[in-house]
Amino acid sequence: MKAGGALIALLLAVPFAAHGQFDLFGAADLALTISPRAPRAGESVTIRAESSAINLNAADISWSVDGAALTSGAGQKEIRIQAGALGSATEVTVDASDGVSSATASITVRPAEVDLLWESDSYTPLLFSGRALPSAGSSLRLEARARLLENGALVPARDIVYTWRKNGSVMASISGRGRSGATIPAPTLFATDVISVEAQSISGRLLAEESARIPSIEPILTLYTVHPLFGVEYHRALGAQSFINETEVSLSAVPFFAAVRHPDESTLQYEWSVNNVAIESDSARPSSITLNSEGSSGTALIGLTLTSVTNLFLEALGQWQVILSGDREPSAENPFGTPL
Amino acid sequence: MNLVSKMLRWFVLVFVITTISGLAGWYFFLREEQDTLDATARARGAGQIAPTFGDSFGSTYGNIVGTGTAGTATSAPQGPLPRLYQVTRAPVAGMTFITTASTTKLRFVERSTGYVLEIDVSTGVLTRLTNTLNPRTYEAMLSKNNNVIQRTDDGAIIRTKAGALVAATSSDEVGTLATTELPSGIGAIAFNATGTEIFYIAPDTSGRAAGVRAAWRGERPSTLFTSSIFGWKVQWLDDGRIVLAQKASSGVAGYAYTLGANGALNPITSPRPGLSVLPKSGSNAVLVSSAENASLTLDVERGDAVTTLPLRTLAEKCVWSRSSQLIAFCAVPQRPPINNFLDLWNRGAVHTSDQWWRVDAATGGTELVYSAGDTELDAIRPVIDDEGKYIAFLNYRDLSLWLLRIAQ
Repeated sequence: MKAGGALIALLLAVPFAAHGQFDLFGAADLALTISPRAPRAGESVTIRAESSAINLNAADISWSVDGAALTSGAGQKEIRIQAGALGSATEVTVDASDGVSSATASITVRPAEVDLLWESDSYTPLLFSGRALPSAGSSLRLEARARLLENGALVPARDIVYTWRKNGSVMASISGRGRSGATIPAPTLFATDVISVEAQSISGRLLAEESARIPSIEPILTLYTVHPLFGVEYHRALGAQSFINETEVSLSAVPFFAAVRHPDESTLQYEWSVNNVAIESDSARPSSITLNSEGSSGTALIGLTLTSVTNLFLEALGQWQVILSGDREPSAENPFGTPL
Repeated sequence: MNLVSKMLRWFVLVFVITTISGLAGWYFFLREEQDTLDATARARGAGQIAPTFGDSFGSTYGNIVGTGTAGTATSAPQGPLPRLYQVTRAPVAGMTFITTASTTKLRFVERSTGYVLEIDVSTGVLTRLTNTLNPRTYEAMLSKNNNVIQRTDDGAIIRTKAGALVAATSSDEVGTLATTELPSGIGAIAFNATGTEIFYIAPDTSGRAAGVRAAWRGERPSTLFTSSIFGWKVQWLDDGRIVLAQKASSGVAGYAYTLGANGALNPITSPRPGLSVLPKSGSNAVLVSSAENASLTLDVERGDAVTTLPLRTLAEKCVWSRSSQLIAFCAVPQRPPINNFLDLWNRGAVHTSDQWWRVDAATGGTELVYSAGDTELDAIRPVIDDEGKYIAFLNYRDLSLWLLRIAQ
């Protein structure tokens, strides 16, 4: 503390809603702000001094990091440093004096990290290698994986308080100590939700945050051949126009990302048409149809509309032109009747 | 006049002889070239007769060797295999190299039947090892100690079987696969390096995803971690590390971790859109790809050092050499990807035509290894033999199995 208007520095342990936890020491009229609020390990951090009593634009300001002088100068209200490794603590101190009053403040930067993982429970084939994306009516599975290193050890998830937010509003029902995972409704049709999570150690010394922008998409109807020996050929979706070297073929529609557990759920309604004529599908497997081009030209314009009796937001359309080989036999060049 | 007539006759005679010699030379040259083309075409499966699924040997066996007795092929390609060789035309569920002191064989599982077959990579002789039927085997893993995992999808649930190859008791017979049913609903699974253990992701009793380590038949399961997330890809490296990566989507941030002994997930790289990773066993090097819109990038990361490679491909199209050198081979699309490529590709709605490139991760250097010309190969699940001479991969267009000799 300095004479002549010296201010009493207060020890503040502020649980900032930020990635990195830091303590704030400073006089009532000299404060430090940090950006980003919660730095990750190694991230560039901007620290800025603010005061209502000292004219910082004219004041002599000196900065030190972990006790070593970093920089000084008139009106130097801001510095940039690099956050240390996980578990590190970097103390930044600022002294400011405008000739009338002076003050000191310090802040401790403790990087911490949390990963925000998400997926939907929407339908994808069981061995699908891509992410399940949310559609209206489906759910979002969320998981926060925090790395808060305190006293050389990772803070266990049960000792972390998780605060989940959707579009800025706290979701109290899924927040709390040890609540690292949650399931919430997916964004509504055509909407995008910003989901964020804060993870704070129960000591209050470490805090991290992360967010994700998650849009809701429309289910995608994709058509595959069902080979009698190989099963559904998920590796080869039918394009808008396909040639199949068979006179008869079974086709299966896969409603990617629909809010169902199985494509043949009873709540789903498949309306098939071939050459603009509605056709009935097998009630046990409404997602599949069989085409036979024997004695015909072999060209089929397939239309499909998928709706749900329980989910008014679910509607997917698809149209494909499939040309079968008619009465021709499979050739030696294409013995499996593969689309060309 | 006589002189002129004589010269004219000589000229005509020389012209006729020269023309005939030239035509004859051209004929023999063309015939030799045609023989080469025919041999390459035969190697790639062209001109083969239609498959006979009803025979007693199974589709691949019948398709490739034509006639033969069970277990041993009676016909094989003449001479050494061409550099690029189509092992099967029928879809394959999985494969691995089996190397002994004298031979290297490519062992694989046929999708339609679940039969296990293997081919000698130097002679092309094909042998069927099992006759245990497991129809519609969508995915298979094979270990070097003769264990096999087969996965089928009945539309409602994934069934996973672990089996051991049981050799035939006589040369007239075919071996069997003694299988055990593993827990249902396994989302991802991998063998350890020796094939004695498995690690899999499956739902636990509380409805969460559990990462379970067990003996290869599923005995002594031990849950190493649990998660709200079910969509993981699993790799179990030869150095013992278990690597977990979220299933990827174009433009969606993904995370990848190594699984610590205490169940902690330690990041292997920073999150990025459409992330896929391929770590090298025994090294801190990792191939990292990201996909967003029509953009594909491939990096080599070694600790904090990151090198962006001039190749636009996915990490799952690459394979690390098994030597200690930081050499990888990647199938690289020849044409730029279209918008939303990764999602369309995952659904089988688009395919690539790849060239094979060699990557020196130590220097960031790349070199074209092989271009398949007009043959359109969308390579997935590449594996490499212990000596680094061969790469086997599936063509995602039809799941046919291919073998590439790396050196010319």
